[in-house]
Amino acid sequence: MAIDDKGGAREAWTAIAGLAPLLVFSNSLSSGLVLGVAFLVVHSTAAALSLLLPLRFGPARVLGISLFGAAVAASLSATVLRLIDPFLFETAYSRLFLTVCTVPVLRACLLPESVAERERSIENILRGLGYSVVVILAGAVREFLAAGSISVNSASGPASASLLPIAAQPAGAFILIGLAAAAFKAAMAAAKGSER
Amino acid sequence: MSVIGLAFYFALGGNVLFQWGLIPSRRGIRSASLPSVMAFMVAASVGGTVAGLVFRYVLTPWGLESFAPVVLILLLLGAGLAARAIGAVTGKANPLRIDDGTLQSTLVLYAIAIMAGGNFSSIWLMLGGGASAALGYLAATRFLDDIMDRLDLEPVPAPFRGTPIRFISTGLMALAFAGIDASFFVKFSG
Repeated sequence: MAIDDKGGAREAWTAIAGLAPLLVFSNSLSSGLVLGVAFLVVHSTAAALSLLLPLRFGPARVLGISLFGAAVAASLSATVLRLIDPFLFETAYSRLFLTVCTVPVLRACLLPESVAERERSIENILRGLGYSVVVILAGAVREFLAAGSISVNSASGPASASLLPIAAQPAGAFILIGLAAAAFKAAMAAAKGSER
Repeated sequence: MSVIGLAFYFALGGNVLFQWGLIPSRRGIRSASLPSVMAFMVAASVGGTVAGLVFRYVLTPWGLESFAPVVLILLLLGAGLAARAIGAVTGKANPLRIDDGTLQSTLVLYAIAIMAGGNFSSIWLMLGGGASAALGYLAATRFLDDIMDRLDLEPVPAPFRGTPIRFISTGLMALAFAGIDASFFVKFSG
């Protein structure tokens, strides 16, 4: 098995692109919370399984078992959501199911190839927490930009959009992600410049 | 929904790239051969139909809709095992190689299975929906690659080069596609 990886920039791009399906759907705090928590559960399950399964299982079997475990975790998350808020389940279930095959989760399912990589797998689990926070924050920011306020009540949602309605649409999500990435890039360049 | 309406929907407003945010992590659609494009469309079509039938006739009657991911992953793993078995029989078995392209293709096939399979009642519409969704995704990816190539010739400000301009271009394309879809979809949806 081989994984194509060309440095930190490629890694960062893969992370952003991999999270895009969740960031696009996370257009309110409630949907962000649902997706963020579900992603955390699914990602942690996949990362833990690939870390804990014996090396003798081989890459293909570890990938299959971890992916199956992630799917079970997503199903259980969906079941819990259905019990708590059936309305939110109806609106969010397809995207919640998608968490299983997002690129960060698929990468977490891969068998760590070396001891060093295996030690870094703990970081992989922690990284899932960071991704979840990003998804939740994206939902809160987009809801605020779209409606001018934030509410955890899923029934109100972004329907009362009045400030910048496009922020709640997929197109607005792409543009906001692009602007945020540009701002991050500019800040990093400025930080490097001040170091010299 | 008519077949034309279906194709129109998945090419524009229902495009999985723009509606689901399935942006490919690298350019490369131009290098895809016709057989691989056809194989991708067939896989999406069959996957969407099987997922739709299982969802409708197995999961829904038993109230087990929440367990769709388990079924979809089992189908995906089964398809992968079948492909490897066929490769072994024909002597073309390759070692398991996973790169960004493989991960993205898996995600797109899975998304199409969820989207196309859950939306239609007729088998023909499920088959057509899966193929249309795959074709719409490939076409949108090609358009995006062309736009990025054109932007390479422009003096884009440094912080916007690369990932940021790709996302902003995708957003503007999504806006345009959604506008066309909203304007004409009723006429074609039948």
